Amino acid sequence: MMKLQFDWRSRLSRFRVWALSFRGGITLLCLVGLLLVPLTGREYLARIVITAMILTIFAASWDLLAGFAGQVSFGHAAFFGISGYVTAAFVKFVGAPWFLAIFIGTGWAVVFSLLIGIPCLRLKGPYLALGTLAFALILYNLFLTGTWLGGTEGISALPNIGSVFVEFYIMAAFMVASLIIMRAIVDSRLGTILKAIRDDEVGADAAGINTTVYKLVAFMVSGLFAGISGALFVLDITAVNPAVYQPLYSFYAIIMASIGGIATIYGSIVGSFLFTLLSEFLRPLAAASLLIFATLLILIIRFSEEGVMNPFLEHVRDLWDKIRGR
Amino acid sequence: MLELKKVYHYYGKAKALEEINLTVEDNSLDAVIGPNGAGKTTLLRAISGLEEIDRGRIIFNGERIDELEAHEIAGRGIAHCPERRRLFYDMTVMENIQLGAFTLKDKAKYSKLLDFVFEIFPRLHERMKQRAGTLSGGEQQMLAIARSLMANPKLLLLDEPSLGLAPKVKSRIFEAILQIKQEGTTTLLVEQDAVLAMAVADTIYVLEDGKIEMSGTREELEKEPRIKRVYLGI
Repeated sequence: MMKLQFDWRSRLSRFRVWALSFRGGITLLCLVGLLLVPLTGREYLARIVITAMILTIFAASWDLLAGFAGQVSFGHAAFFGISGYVTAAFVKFVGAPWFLAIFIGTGWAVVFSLLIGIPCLRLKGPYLALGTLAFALILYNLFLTGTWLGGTEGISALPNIGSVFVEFYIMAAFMVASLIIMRAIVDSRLGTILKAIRDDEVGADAAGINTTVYKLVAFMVSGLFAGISGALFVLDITAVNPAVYQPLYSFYAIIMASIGGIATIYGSIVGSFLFTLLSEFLRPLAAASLLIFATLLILIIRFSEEGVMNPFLEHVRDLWDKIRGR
Repeated sequence: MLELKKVYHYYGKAKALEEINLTVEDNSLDAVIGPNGAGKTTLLRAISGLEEIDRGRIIFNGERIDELEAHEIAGRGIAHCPERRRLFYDMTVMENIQLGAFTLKDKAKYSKLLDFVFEIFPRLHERMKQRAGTLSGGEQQMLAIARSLMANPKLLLLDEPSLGLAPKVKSRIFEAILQIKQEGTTTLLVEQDAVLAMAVADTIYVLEDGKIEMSGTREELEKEPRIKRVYLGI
């Protein structure tokens, strides 16, 4: 019988090399900082970080579809919302445990990504963006005017997952796993094919790539992670209503991914944390906060097309090199 | 290997290809020459399925392919090296080459092809990890041809490989095209530089206003006064 061998020594040595590298060190530092948040005992801070972690998955899922496959969606809230609703319905009306409800909700998001992806495949650029936006608006109106699943009120009073600190670690695990998987996908052969379609669809077609199938795969993978974030979001706030389908949620994903850096996946962490923290900070300004975000986005697009993460890391690296006398 | 029978293609009401009859034999290197806007690129795009023809038939190895999708045609063994290279500019040279071999499943064949493309284009080997967008025009053309060759094509369609290149680089590219021919890859070349194309091709088709006005070997066409005057500048 064949023995499965796992070379711990080689894995450990590779991890050591990565951990001692600049990017590896920064990643570990951030991860340790994140995991220490609950130890502060501040529930309010933990709640904000939980929201940021959920939105990170959502923004990264948009980045995978738009940044890597070149399929710009303005209706990403559709996947987020449908998963949220199904998760809430299963928890509330069927009494399903939360982890099973997440699984079912995410499955529905994947099915919807296929349903939205198929008719939208022939659309390109702004038409694709508008097509996806239209789907999200249809769902918004269906859930708003329909009497099923709570109508305008939605579904509320869902049971908590556990204490806020337990929830924190669950969300952190989901975020880390989702980001690692998404990054692995874009670094894999599938990722190379998606980038080829993004860069030149005709060239990809001429190379024998079935662009239709791979664009659908991109929709489904992106829908899956948007679905996970939607399910987690609903479990976090213990309620859901038709507002989750609003274009504003789709634009949040775009704003967060753009702030961090498009076609990076990890940039979504920076974008989402900045977005969430700023939202909290600007909360007293109410509607004006959106104006400030819009201005911020224009400034980022104007002065840092590639977002803030990579240029910031480059600056830190230069500083680090100077300190070390290199 | 390839046969086009009475192929017509329109862009709206404008006729791009009119009653095209063309045959490419096994192991041959044929060329289509003609002025700008004659329909040369459209012809290759129609063969590779990037344009849908309006009338006629395209037959490849006995199978009608004009109703297939572009990726299905590529799967049958037709590799299209498009005009202006159409590389994946944000990817490295190696990634571009690997994508060219997308339809190839045989790993031994892959290594053999890789050796061959690096033999005819050693510059690409030196620049394997460089982004395609940062290569010079000549290197990009080399990469575009290399990418098409990696599909191990039965038929290679080359669209204007000399476009925008310096004379010295053009010669290098055409040397490589001859090497590809010697390796036994059937090639249909579309080229505006008639002198270069006629120097390497077995059969030459003259395409003007979407119609094949003349065809023959180099010797036959060189006897035509109009060809000498218009295309060879003699």
